[in-house]
Amino acid sequence: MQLTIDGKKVTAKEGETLLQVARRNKVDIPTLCFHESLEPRGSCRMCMVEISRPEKRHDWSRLVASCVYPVEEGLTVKTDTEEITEMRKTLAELLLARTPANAEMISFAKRLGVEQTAFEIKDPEEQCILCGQCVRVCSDVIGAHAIGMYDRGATKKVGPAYGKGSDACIGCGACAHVCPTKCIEMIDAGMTRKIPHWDVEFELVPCRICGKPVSTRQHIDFVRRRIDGGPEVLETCSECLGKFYGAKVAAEGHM
Amino acid sequence: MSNVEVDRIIDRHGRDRSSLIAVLQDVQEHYNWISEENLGLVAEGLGLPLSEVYGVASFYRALSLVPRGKTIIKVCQGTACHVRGAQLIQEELERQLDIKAPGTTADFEYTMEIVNCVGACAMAPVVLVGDKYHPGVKPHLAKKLLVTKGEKA
Amino acid sequence: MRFSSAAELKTRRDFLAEARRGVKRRVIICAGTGCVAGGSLDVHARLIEQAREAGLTVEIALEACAGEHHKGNGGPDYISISGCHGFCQMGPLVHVMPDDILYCGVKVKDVPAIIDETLKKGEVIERLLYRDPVSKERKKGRDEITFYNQQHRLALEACGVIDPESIDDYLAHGGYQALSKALGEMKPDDVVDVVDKSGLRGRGGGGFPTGRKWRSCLNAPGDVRYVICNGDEGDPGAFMDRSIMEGDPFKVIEGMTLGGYALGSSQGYVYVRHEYPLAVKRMEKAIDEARRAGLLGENILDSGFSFEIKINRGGGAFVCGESSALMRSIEGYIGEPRPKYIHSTEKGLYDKPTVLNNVESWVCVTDIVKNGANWFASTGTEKSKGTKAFCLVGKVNNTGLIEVPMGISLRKIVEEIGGGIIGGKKFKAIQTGGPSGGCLPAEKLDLTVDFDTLTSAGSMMGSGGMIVMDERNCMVDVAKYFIEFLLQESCGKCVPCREGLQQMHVMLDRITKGEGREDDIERLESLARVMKKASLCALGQSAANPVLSTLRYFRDEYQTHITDRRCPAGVCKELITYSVNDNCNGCTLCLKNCPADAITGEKKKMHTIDTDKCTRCGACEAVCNQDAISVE
Repeated sequence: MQLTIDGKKVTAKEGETLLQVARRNKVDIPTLCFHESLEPRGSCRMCMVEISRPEKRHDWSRLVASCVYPVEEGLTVKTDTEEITEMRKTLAELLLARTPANAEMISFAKRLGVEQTAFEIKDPEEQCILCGQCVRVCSDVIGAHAIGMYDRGATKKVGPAYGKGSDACIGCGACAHVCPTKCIEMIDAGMTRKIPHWDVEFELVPCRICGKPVSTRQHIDFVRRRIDGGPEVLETCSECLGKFYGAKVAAEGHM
Repeated sequence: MSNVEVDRIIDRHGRDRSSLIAVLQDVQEHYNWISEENLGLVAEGLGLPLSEVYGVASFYRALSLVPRGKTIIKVCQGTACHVRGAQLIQEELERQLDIKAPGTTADFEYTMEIVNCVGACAMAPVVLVGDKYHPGVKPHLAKKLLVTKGEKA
Repeated sequence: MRFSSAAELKTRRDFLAEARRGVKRRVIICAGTGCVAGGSLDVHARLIEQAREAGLTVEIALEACAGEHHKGNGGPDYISISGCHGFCQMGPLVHVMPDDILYCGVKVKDVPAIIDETLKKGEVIERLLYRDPVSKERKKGRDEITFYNQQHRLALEACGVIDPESIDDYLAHGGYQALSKALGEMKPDDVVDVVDKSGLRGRGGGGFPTGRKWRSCLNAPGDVRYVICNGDEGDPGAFMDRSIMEGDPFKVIEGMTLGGYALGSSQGYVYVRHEYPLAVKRMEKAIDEARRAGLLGENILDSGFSFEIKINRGGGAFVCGESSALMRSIEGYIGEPRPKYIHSTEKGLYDKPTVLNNVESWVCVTDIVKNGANWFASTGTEKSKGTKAFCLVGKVNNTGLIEVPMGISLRKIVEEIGGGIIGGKKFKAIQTGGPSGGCLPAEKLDLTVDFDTLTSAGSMMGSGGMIVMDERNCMVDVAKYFIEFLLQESCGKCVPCREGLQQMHVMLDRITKGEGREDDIERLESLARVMKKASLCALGQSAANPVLSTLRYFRDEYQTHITDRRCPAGVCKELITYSVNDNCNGCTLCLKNCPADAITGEKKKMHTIDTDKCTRCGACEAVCNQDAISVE
């Protein structure tokens, strides 16, 4: 189907979202809670765009979250009207007030033209913007379900149940990888891995060939339960995998 | 034993995600709160991750993850009660019990909770002591409620 | 007994209606939450006990009233409980019919008099009658009391009349005629048609045309459909749905069953707010009775149509009144709403086409199928058909549950039905629509109540809560109260609502404490605009309404708080001082009741309040009989 985004005619398939189509066509829409590997949550509201159908109804337009809004034939989409720009600035100011010391949030806000916030700062140490990406990746992609969102409203938090390091955490680091404010630190030192944000600590399993740390025992076992892989694959670091098994895979198509 | 009771509750509602809230409510009804142990049993019994069950239990204000007192006092903070002085009643009771709502006295006799409208608005301001509804409470007489110690309605 | 055909049902209904006609006198004791709190169940038990002791022929079940032995001596006295009469602050209420005598504030000690004077001698006990606050006259019954005779009770018609725990009473009153008719003479599409033609719009606050909602569900592909009754009623100040569920639960069930038939659904859910235990109990009992009577379950009345209803209790979350959050809650998740781009009539509960309607809407459905679309459309206005139940509470003389035709003016509700402001104080504002609504001042009292008129004035009709405020209510405090409420109830998913409400609260709190800044009003308004546009669900989108409406009509009150650091209504603690004035006669009442020991003084000499110790609790003002406490 065809729609128009910022004056440009674009094509889209049934089932796609406005954001997907926009990004494919190099239209820049800011997002915080969106990640292409995850079900869109539509909670940061940065991606809001204006939709209308000027030929059919000249007095109608609507602001929708592009990360969840499904494409429709003949839609006219505007991603950066003055109204939207002002709205994004206010949202950025609100988030800056929430996480005033977070470098990622500060530069995100700067890109939107926001240098400071007039709103009151509640907790100057706060680093989390409750985008939910860590929870979604842990539950929906990895399947470990080690962290969740608890409480509600202004006191909503992310973390393991009872705030105590969870046995369900496998130390895979997917949460740290997706976090937009980089507040989940994964610290690997020697053969130990710590994720202080979730109060967990792990021992790293060494590579069978070179001895460098591969991943945690829990992570390896977790993957083993899923894919039936033996120690040759799972307890070998990526470098050695490439060196020793790359040629074999290239020639025979398998290990 | 808690296993038996929790099991019974889960059986009554069905071992399905959709039973989660009803199960948690019944566990609380029985034990006056939901302990960490029982929460774990519910998660296990329904085949759900602990993080999920904890998320649900902490979201719904009717569920308590901390132990509660023998008598639960709820000062209704609905609009009708508010315009008729509910805030003052709450402050008075907080003063009397030396706690802040939501909270429990050190001797676990009383827990004060905030509730947003019990639907008895025409008799505002309303205070619930246990199951008993007290209509038209006057702030300076609020301390008399503590004498009744929650008779069943 | 179990009915396996419409004919059997009709026979039984006729028999019970006949039994009702044979009753000499019916004594109805209100057993709604309010009157129960006042001890009405004790009154009920004592009345039955003592009436029997006094030799009266008492029956407590309708069926027994049909006994042959009653025919010779004029019929029995049928004593029963009922649901909420609506006049809660006058409770416990006892209504004697057919005489139409309404006794107020009945206690157990009044029972002997009621038996001796009213039941035995047919005399009226003056002291138990309602006293009109304006004329000061005693009024005998509902026909004479303005609170009642200005109402038009259709949805609430049986509340306060029938025994909600008796399916027999419901049948005798005409119950299940609609379902018999639908299953016997109408096709499912005919039922959708009649609801559509009636012009019914959702009574939960949204006002969406019910027929249109049902049709979009019918048009959605799929075999499994669900029907939901929203009994969450989270708006503080509203208890219409509570009263209907407590007082006429079978009518709700019948409505849902009709919906199931119309939409091709075999499973219904009733979501009742956690804070309504009595409503849950009455609904559970009614579902049980209906099932036993074969009016729920497999092959109802031999029609081939099967329908079941499950009750879900809320967990103490206002946001679960939002339909998508409610559905998530039924599924066992937290109540986080979903964006409404895909309608729940296409993908709702468990991603199946679902129709969710409010309790009052379901009750209207029953009446519409029974009496026809034209009957419903003959009341109300062109775009807002029918009647609406409201909860009139706050600073009026007559607070309670009322039902009036759409199109009535606010003034009529406040002054005639409500009986004006308590203590002769001045009307200041009326708040409607709950936390999504707004406050309207005296100049707007002639506006008509319907789905659209109040919206253009900056408020909305909402689900039915109407809170009347007087000169001693501070509008900034009211705005802060609503923001605080929403702050506690926000699910926290989206940024504009979660963070916006926090920041609005910061500003309003400062203003009420005398720390307001000159640009606060402007900042409140611009933040409100963003919340309205950017929030994910209606909670956030309408969260700023109470602030915006109070700013619109009471801007100078905000300004006084900011510029003069004064609270004209005498509410905001940091800005007021309590002092004793010349009216003081030294009675020491205030002194004795002050919880902070801030008052000193001797008997018969003027007392003094130590401002530093004073906690502004208002106890002194409450106990003083001399009007000697000034609040500035």
